[in-house]
Amino acid sequence: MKSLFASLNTIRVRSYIIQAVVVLSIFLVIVLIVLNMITNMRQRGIPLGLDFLDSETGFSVLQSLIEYTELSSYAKLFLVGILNTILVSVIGLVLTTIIGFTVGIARLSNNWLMKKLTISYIEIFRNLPILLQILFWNSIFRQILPTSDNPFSIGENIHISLRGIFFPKLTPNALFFVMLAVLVLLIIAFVVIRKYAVNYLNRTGKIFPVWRPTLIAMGLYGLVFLLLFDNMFAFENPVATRFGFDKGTSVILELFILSFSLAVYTATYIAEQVRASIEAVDKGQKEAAAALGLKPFMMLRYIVIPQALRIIIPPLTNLYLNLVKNSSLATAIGYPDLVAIFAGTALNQSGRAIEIMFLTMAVYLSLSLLISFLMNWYNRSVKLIER
Amino acid sequence: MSQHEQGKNVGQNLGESMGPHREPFISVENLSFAYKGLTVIEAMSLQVMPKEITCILGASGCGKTSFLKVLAGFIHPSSGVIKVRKKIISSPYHLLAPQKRGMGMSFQDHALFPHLSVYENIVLGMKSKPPKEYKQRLEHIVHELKLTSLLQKYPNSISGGEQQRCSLARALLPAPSILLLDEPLASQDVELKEKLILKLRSLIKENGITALLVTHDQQEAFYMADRMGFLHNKRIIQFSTPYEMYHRPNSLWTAQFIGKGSFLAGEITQGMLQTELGTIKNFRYVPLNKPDTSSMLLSHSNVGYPKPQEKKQIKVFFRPSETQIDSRSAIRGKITAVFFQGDSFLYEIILPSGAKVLSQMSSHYKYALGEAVGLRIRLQNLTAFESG
Repeated sequence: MKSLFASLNTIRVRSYIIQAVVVLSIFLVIVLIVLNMITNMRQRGIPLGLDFLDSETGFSVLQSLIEYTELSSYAKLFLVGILNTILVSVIGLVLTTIIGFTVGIARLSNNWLMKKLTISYIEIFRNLPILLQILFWNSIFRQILPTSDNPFSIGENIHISLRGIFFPKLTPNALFFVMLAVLVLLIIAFVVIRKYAVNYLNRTGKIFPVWRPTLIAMGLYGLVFLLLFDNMFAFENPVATRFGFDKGTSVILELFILSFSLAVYTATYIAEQVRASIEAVDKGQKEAAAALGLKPFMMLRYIVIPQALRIIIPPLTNLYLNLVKNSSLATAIGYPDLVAIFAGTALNQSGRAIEIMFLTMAVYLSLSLLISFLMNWYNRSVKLIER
Repeated sequence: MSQHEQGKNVGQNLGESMGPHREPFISVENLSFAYKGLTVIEAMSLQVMPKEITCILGASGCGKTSFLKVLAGFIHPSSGVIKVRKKIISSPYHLLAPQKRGMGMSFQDHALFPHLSVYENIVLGMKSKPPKEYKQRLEHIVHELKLTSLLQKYPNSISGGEQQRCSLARALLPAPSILLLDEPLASQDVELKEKLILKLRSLIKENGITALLVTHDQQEAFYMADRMGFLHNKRIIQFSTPYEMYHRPNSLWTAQFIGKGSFLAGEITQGMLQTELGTIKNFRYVPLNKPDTSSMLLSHSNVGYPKPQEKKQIKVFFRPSETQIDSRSAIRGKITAVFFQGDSFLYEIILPSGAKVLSQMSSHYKYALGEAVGLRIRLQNLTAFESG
């Protein structure tokens, strides 16, 4: 009997037992909470379940990417909210990446003015709360932009006002899809020819021309595209009415303000990351590349960027996730994102707090995990190989 | 001393290439530079002849690496001019970008690219050239430097010595007209080192490369160099053939740093050297204020030196191999230290005056610590340094 006890009294067995006890007690607490909640809700007569998703919402939404009216269901509203959140996030992510990388590289410049400007931008916008910044840009743009009866117009058909940005709606016709197919074919041809050229170089030691023909083809295609532009779409111009504009396509001001402020805020962090990871590439690496006669562009392309990328991806993933999560501050300026219309208005209307909160959280969790997955996948492809 | 006599005395004939009339390939004039406010090199001049291997020898931390980086263009000098084939590449008014200097370099810390395989590292410098053009040379270099089995590996997974050979291959493949080598074989195992030195030398010579090598390793310098310079106290204080450097040091510093040796105090009377070991008639006299020979192509050891003055205090320099233990000798001493060196013993012997000399004897002749022995010294080709 004593020997059995002694054989179980090892570090490994002890740690397993302790872990099992902890997991069990956490599980027990959760079960207790859920049971208690269900009992309380039943006593107060609050229903639990997803059946409410089929009922009418009875309110309209400022912007929706799919067909939605007051008569649509909560399920449809849920989808509208998700799409609006994704829309503002994607625009924000693209903008913040462009601003962040540009500022980050400019920060490394030897030009005094460039350096000071970028440092000032980073230090100011990184150190102010994001909610304050969203409100700031909101009030600024609302002061600057004219009312809809006196819009700021670019050309005849683009109008910018407090109501948003109105521009012609383009409905592509057959010719557009033909041009699109030609573009796809050209890209495939380029990839194939480039691969062949590399092979040809390795086999014969001679260079097969790729870049010059590609540039010529791109130029020609661009020219044809511009010439045929009017024939590729059916245009529906915005029409001025008593209450602003009708028809055409519009972007509401809130979308622009929210994605802009999110991008400006997050870009400060991205810029610092970009700078840090480029600086983290050892000076000796640049010297070694220079000693091989590599020109500055080649040095960046083959030595600095590949090494900087593997440092930058993990923090960049975090920053992207932050931007997506911060988009839930939309409520502050009335942009109809998932939190504003679903976890806000829909919750108040239906009173289904538990279900709506869980659904909303599930959406953000899925979005974040999806971004993490994509970034990890990319990270694996650029990370340092050590065999 | 004429050129003819010089060759005879030195005993190492390097032929036409040693003639001082040829144009130098790299010419460094009055170069100075400071690092963090500290002067590292001051008014240094150096001339490197085409297709020769020139070696700069110096103690650790004397600025060898910085000097190479100034040549390569990574550090900017505070003054002075560097010319390659008479064309100025660095002056206070003009700095040519490192990429345009046509100088290859192998680094002390190897500086391999961690994200590229050994093969990709080696061929990176040939990016703009078709593989056909360099395939044969690549195979040759890879074989000579024993890298064949490592090509697909990544730098972080190979040893320091292997990384160093990879770095050498990378620098050699583009066959730059000038190759700068920073301690090129410092990480190699002893038994491989000698072979690699000869291989590296022939790879450089085959490709007609002008090489400048810095090292603290005398063996490496002696084996590789056509000419060598000794860097001490911010400048090159002696520039000559390796043979001259060893046998005709032009300063106490050179004598102390290069090889082993011992000094014995003495005095000059009637043009002859009086020492504890007797009177020495034939010797080479090096005064304290000797002319600056650092910029000379070859410092002819006695060129411009004054005749020894009477009553001058001097220090005579002996090599251990020229100091032999011989019981019949009248000069007596006592062994104070014994160093076993494999094929030989190095003995430190104290003379009655308290001066210590080193003696190198074949290890078949064994003497005990504290034993009283006789000393016989070959009194030829000695150098006498004025000691103030």
